[in-house]
Amino acid sequence: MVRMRKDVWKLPANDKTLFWYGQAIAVLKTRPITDKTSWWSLAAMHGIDSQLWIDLGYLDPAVQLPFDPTKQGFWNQCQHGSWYFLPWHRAYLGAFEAILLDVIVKKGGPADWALPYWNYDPTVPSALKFPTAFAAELLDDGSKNPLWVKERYGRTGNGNITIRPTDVPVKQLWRAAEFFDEPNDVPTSFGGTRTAFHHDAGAGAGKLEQTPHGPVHNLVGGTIEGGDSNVSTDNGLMSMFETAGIDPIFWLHHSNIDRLWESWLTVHQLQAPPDAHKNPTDLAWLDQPAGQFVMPQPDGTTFTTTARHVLNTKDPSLNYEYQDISVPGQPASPLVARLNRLGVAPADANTLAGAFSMASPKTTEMVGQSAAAVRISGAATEASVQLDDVARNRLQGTLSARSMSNLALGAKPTPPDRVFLALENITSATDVGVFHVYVNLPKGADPEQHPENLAGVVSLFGAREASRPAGPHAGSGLTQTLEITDIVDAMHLAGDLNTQQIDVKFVPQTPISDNNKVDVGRMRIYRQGG
Amino acid sequence: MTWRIALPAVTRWPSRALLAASLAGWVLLPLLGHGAQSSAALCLSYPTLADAPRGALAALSVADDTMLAALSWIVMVVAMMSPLLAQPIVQLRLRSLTRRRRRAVALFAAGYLAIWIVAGFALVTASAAITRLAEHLGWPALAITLTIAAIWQAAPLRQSALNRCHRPPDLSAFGLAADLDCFGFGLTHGVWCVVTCTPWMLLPLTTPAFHLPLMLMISIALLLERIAPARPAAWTWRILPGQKVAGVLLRSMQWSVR
Ligand SMILES: [Cu+2]
Repeated sequence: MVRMRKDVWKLPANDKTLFWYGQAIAVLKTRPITDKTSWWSLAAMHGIDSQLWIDLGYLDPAVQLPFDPTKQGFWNQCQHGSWYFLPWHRAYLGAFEAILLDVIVKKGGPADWALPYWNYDPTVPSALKFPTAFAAELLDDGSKNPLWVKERYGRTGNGNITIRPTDVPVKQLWRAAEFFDEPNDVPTSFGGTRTAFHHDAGAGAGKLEQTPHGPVHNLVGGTIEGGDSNVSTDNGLMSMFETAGIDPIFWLHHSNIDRLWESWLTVHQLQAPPDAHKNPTDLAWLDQPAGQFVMPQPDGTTFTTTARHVLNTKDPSLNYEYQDISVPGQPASPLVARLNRLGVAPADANTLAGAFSMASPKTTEMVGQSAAAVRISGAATEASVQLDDVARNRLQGTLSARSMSNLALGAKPTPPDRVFLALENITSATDVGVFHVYVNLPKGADPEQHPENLAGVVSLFGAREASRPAGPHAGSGLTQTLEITDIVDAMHLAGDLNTQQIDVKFVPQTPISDNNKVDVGRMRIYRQGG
Repeated sequence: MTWRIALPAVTRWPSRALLAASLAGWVLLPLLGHGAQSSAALCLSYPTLADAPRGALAALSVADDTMLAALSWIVMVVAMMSPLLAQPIVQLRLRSLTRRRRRAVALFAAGYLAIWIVAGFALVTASAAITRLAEHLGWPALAITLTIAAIWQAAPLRQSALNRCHRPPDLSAFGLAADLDCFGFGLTHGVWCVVTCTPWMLLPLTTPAFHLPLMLMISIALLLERIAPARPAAWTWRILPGQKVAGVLLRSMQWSVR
């Protein structure tokens, strides 16, 4: 019997899933941190900062810790900014679920209990609300709610957790056809950059890790009203690697991230490359020692696993499936739709798209770059990317319907380029912050009125560690890549692409002050073609 | 059973051009007199190269021994260091306009080599001092350099220099500013590279008898080390460069032949 991970917002009225989740949490919290099956050790596997935990009252300073909390090992194991992000978190959730299930069964609960997920579906406003069962401090009988933690400050710090559709877009996930990028390319993949070992430079986050993963962490955690987000004790638990696992909602968030991975695998697009929407078959990813994950078991021992062993969620070792992994509203052929938009006659578009799918491997070329670092703060910050004429002309050439249709003349078919805005070397004194990035917004326009110019959302989750000059990333910060193909197509069609520069506007969605030192070191525009 | 060895992809990074440059360096080195000398055959020792077998030297018709010594030092740097430059060059090309890529790499290489030439003089002076100290103390020079290298390897400062070797460059895209930035990136990358590698480079300099094999071993160790992920800068017991990676590679090979 395969257990079902259910949508937390679709649980029937008298459903006991969350009751048993709470019961298990209460038990795990009574176990000492030295026990690998305790709530505390499970959270520390994701990340721990012992002083911060002591300050927040989650760690007794007198306790002798079983692992060095400053080192990566069994604790601080979490894989971010890497192609191991998804398999590691799946193995982690699987081990967590097994430990909870063991407790639940021993307490007389259901043997088919499974961790639910919080599907913050951008098209369903009611699903964006924070799950009610987690919000109240006390239960009906006056006892403490095990699903509640104090340190959830939300978007503005008053404890209201509000998530808007633009904070958690998913369309960009389905467009990312490849699971991983090579480290010598601009990161545009779904699952992250190939990394030799874990925790390489902060440049390797895949689309799913960037969004919606990061913004949800920040918009739930946030920073306490009147507090300083540079000070860790003022931040919500979900806002930081080192504390996120303590919050019971963390597990429902990552359950959804894991579900989105399953959804991505179901996407089928015509004319897609053969490895599109498939997991890597690369041995380095599947089972190399570098990608070995050490996980606890209910009896307190540990075992080692790799990506290969977590690919099938219905395998007895994981034994779960999701209630719903459907991906609504996907065009059968986004490429044909795009060719039509660019002015290729519908009759030709299919033939052309077919010819493109056999085109040569992709090439990446820089088209433009910003002149200086941009400090993001206050209501909005404007900046621009200067374009190189030669590269921009090449880009325009690939967008021209006429040149695409010249196929009959025996020319090699060239598909229209995809275009990306890379925000590089994003450094910050805080882990908390979410901002929207608009491209080519009309002068003086209200960004909210121009969703067609919204390139994407960026969160600072993990930025502080990546910004420390003495840290392993040597201060190189985060890199986030946003696809701006549609915006550039629209500029091309409107005749606006014959320009020296493209304007970019950053609109903070959470309070970001000058004191937070949020800088985007460089913006680069890349074209990627075949 | 498959005999395909699944090395981490980063080991496949060095481009053919870089590997060819390195190989050419290794082939040239013995011709330039390395390893064939009986006396203190230092990469950049002023007097000794004059006594070296003349065949290859004559062919090059370099009269000035210092010039030749400098040349052989450059060849050695090219042989040992070019595989280490795969990552920075890939990052540099990605951040350069297509038509500027060659120029960007050339400027980077010039800056990088300039630093190593300066470092060469300092290293020769240091190795001469160590040799004299060794004679004075009656210890083998190797013991002194090994101690220095081991302590340096354990030091947090070295790890933070190594981490900076992984830092992607921040470059202007256009005009003179771009040229200066590429050259500057070569300089700064050279500095972090020198800081990371220096004590190990003293080893072959102070042990002339095993000069070439030592250099080869050190290059491989430094290359393996470069593949490892960045660590926080702290004192460590890992005093052999690349020891962690070597272990993982070995396990990975066993894994792939199972
Ligand atoms: Cu997370």
